[in-house]
Amino acid sequence: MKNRLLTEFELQKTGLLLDNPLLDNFRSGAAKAFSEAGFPNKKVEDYKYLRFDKLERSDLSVPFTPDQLDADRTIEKELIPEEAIHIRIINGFPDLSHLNQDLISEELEILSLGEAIRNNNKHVLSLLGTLVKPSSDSFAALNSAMFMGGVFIHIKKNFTATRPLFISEINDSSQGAFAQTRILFLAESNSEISVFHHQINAHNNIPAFANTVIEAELEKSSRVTWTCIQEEGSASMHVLNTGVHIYAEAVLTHIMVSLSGGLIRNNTSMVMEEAHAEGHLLGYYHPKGEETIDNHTVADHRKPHCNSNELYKGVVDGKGTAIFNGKIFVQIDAQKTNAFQSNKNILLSEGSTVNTKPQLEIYADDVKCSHGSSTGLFDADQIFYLRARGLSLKSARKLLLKAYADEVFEKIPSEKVKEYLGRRIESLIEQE
Amino acid sequence: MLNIKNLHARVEEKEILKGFSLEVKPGEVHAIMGPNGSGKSTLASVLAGREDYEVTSGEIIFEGKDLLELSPEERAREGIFLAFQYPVEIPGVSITNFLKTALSEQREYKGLPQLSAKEFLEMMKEKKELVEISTNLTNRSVNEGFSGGEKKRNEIFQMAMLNPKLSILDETDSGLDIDALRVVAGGVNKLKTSENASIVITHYQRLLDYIVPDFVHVMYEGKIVKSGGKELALELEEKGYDWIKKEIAAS
Repeated sequence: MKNRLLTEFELQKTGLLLDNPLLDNFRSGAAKAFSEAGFPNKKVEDYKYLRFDKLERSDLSVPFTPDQLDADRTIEKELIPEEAIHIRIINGFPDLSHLNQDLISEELEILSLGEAIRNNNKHVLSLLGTLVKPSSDSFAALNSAMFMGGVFIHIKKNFTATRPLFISEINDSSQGAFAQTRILFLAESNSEISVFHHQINAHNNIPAFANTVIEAELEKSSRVTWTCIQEEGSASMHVLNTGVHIYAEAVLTHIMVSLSGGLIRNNTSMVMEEAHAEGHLLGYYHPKGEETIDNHTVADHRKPHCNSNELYKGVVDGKGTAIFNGKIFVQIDAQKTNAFQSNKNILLSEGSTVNTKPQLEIYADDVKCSHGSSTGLFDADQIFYLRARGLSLKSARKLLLKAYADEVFEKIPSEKVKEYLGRRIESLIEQE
Repeated sequence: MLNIKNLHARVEEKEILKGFSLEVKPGEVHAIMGPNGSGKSTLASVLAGREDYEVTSGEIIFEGKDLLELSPEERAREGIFLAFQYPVEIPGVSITNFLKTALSEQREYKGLPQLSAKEFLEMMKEKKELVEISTNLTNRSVNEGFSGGEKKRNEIFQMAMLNPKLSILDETDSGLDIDALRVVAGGVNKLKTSENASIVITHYQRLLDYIVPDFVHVMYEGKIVKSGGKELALELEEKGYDWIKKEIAAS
């Protein structure tokens, strides 16, 4: 697969590079980085629990043109808030055709990233590749070399979006697609928005791979809530690199909900660039069957008086595997930092596995940092208490599991999305 | 209603119930008293079906059914209610949602039609008044951050909602001040009918000033060693448990 991708890159190079000669070095450099690193193998520390052999051997098609939409869209009705502005990204290509322009104001710009690049959009050219660097990760490098479509979301100064933005990222190919999706997001100072990002495979049983990069910049005093929901089915693999830079007094709330995927790897990184920046990282993951869900997060405190708060909770069922690695950096200038991290896991079966690791690197001396992790079973006393009131074991587990997940879901700014997730969690228990 | 015959039970390797027998008829209130470690709470747990306890011999017949064959939820649906000595905190699960689920599953088991949302809320309101529990409390997560008194009051509220045939109150008086004790006991008394029965487990006599028993049993070393009317409780209060221990040693 690696060689095929590089050949494709060479073949498409003219097309890719024509998008803007200013990106020549960026694209070629990224291709070189991927060529050298290849897909990570078990010798790469950060990827030691993951195997990409299947991906390397796969014959997935690499789409360079948008596909037709042909899949069932009922899930969208169940999930998408009525008031939302909805866009789709299919196999990496934005489908903005049905975007209701009436809902968009001048203050909220949604552009095809490819087009923005061709048009020399100054924000795009200055931000692209700076928040997720190609050198940081071989999947990020691959995406940087080869992404063609993508979207650029731009919220202008002082604008408070009353409607949330809903992005459906769909892997849609009957042959199985190897898609590279890229989202560039800029919230200018004192703006506010909620974004929902839903990742699905339109053909649930067909193997597919999605390699997504999200770069987001939150300028001074902006407030952004980003909820990502991953449910692509066990046949799919997904690597998602998210890099967010947060400036003074801006607040990020990032919620990562991974419900299904054969192999999911999320690298979620936030950098507090200026004093009084604030970031909340929340996550819920639920691998089952033979699924593997791996979350690597970074909270990087570079300046004083910043707060970060992290809560990742997981439930592992069947022969599923969950991996959590949470890094906190407190750089030498970052005095008066508050940084908290918590990872909790519930094992539902004998065959389930959790690997959890906090990593703290603290170079400043006046900081408050804490981390904790726990892995266990459902509380037997709670289960007995509920059963002693007449609840079946299954109902008791459902109730407890929903309560467990709600600690993460309660931060999601949509009742409809929360209810959808509640139903999905119940159905996961029902399937046991 | 309930017939316990020569019950032996152990936890891990330790035998705790050693030939416990008791018969309870509808309309009766039985008090079980005894010193610490006599097996009172084990009895409550075994009746409710806690799996940590192993019944090695004896039988429990409840309303004609072999109770030991039933899961904890089946026992609850058959009409057994245990008011816990230490009610469990369940963060994130609201009392309303929990009781709605419990009631719905119990009604389904009994083949009764489900309550409408309105009927359920009306029932909540009525029972809340009965046990003097505030909406403030029932809107919260089950027992989370409740004081000792609030937890016990919540137990009696659940009992009122589920309307059991047999309620077992395990040390319901422990950790209660006199006002809370009065409210909790008042709730229990209001729920008493000629159809249902209670087993009141307590270490101290004072609860029995409020919940007047028909029978008082003294439990010691895993079985009942003395039974009598409510005056037995007063005698125990006066003479202490050593009196019973001496009597047994003498015989």
